[in-house]
Amino acid sequence: MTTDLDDRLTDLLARAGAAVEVRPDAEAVLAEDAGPAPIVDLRDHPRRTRRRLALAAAVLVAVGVVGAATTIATRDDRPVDVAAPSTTTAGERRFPVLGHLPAELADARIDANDGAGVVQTALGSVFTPGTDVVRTAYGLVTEDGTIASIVQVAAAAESVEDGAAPPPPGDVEDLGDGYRVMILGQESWLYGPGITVAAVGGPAAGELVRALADEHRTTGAAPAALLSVVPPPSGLTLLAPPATLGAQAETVARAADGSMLTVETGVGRPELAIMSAGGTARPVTIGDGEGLVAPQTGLTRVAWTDPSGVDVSLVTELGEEEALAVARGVELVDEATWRATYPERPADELPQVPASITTHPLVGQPAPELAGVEGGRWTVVSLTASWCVPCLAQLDVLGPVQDLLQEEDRARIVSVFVEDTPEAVDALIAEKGIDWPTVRATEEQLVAWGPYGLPMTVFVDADGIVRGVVEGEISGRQIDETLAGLGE
Amino acid sequence: MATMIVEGSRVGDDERRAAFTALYRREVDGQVRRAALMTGSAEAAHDVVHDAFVELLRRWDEVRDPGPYLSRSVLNRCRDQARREATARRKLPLLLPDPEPGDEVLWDALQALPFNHRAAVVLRYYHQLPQDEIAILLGCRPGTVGPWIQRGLRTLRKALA
Repeated sequence: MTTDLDDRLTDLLARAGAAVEVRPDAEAVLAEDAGPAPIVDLRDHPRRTRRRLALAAAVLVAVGVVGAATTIATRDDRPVDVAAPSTTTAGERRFPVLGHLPAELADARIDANDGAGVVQTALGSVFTPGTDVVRTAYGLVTEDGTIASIVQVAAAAESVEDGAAPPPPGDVEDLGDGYRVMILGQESWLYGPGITVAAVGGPAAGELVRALADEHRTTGAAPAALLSVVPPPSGLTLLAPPATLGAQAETVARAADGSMLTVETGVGRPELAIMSAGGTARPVTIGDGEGLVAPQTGLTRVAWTDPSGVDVSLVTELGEEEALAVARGVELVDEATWRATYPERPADELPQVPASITTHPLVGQPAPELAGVEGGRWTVVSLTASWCVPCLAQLDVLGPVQDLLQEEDRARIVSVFVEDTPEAVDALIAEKGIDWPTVRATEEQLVAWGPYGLPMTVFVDADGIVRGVVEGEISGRQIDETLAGLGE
Repeated sequence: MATMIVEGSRVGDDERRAAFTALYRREVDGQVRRAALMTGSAEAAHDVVHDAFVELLRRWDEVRDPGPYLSRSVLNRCRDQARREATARRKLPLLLPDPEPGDEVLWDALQALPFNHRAAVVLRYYHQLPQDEIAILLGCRPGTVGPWIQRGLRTLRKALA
């Protein structure tokens, strides 16, 4: 539908764009040319390699993956003790390290910045067998490559099995003794006895996991050296970090018959998504592209890349052929389309709330004091931070949800910024167009709400009692359904 | 001990500068116009685009896809510029030499939008880009672009009412 505003915008922008007087000056750019950047083979640079390893060890301590003191060598070969740097890793608090950067990292540099200001980048991920969590360390890297802060974010790792998982289709290299390296585009995975490591960063990541396999095989040391620094591909921007590994999300889609369903996104390329399926994957054609289908203990998983480039995975109780038929008709829809379609659901089909939402220690307790949580109405408290990459995507989700909840007068949303500066919060409010209440958490509030991972969403009822807690990213649909399912 | 190799191929310096200059000629016009609409200032646009080209030239051997790299770099710099503007809160002059009635109100409202909303609206209405391409340029998820445009348009409607 074309509106008057559409036409006015098109017209104004076309005239304003045409009115710009462009003054090309290639010579001015070339005058600042410092020559080609040197190509570095780190094998010839033991000092630089040591620096990276020192950095990796310090990162491990900083994020609490390694609790004990570790002795490492710095660039000038002076042994230093980088024991747990501060109280931030004490007890159950697994984050953050903001403001408590180990002194040894003060002059470290990471080549992960494209010069566009401070970027947040994933430094590496570790999956520990026997848990269902992938821990990813993020560094806030300034323009000159200095690490301003480090934070660890834990994410569910449903797509990661332990070392016994069968190799997925893809480029698999058997290193012997049960160690296998799988290269899936930018992602490199190491599967070995007792360890699983994901690294992102193209060929460098592949080299890294191979070296880690050698190290693990000879020293048996795990996972002390497993979290290392892998520079992301150049040009990576703040909102599209390699951190989507393991950051699985439910996404709303529309089937060919017009009904709505959820599919998984963020699991990674089809080969990666199918990794947890266990059975033998079969290549199939979906739309104009290729996909994979695999049985999964009574279920069927279909994974493919949608025409817009989004990797999608569908898990269903249907048989292979029926599942494929559904997958071929799936169309990803945006939040606005979902909002337009979703309210048609019959009122008697209240969604089931997953048990994990209601087993958090805060559930059943009065909500800790916080401006904006006032009783009389349900409140969705979203704990977030400007330095937390998944939180930035979460903030984008909250806008439309806030509109929906406000229109229906059902609940209010409060965003609580954790260990943030007023300047960073103000900038984010301006950038994201946040028009719902925000609070900057005090130290006491931080302890009381006790977030173990960000983002965290807390559902508080009209009497001020916590009814549900979700750690990690949550979709707009999940917020809506959880509210309905909890009896709001 | 872990070893890492940074891969890349070195080309001759003259060849590199020639390839760069060709890209510069192809891209400079569109990048400056787009940056001007994003920042609201032709001067700021020239600075932003110049800096992005300098950065691209420095990383010429590492960058596999210079066009998209340049676009993202320019957009990121426009975003930084918007942050600085948000602090300064100054009114940006209209870029049009012969404004029509109502142009100024719409222009001011557009420049007052949060950066992501403004960028999505400009990419949609100036470049007529589809949502998935806008998402790539802005480094967000495709599903996010629609709500950004809708919220931007709603704010504009309010300002015009």
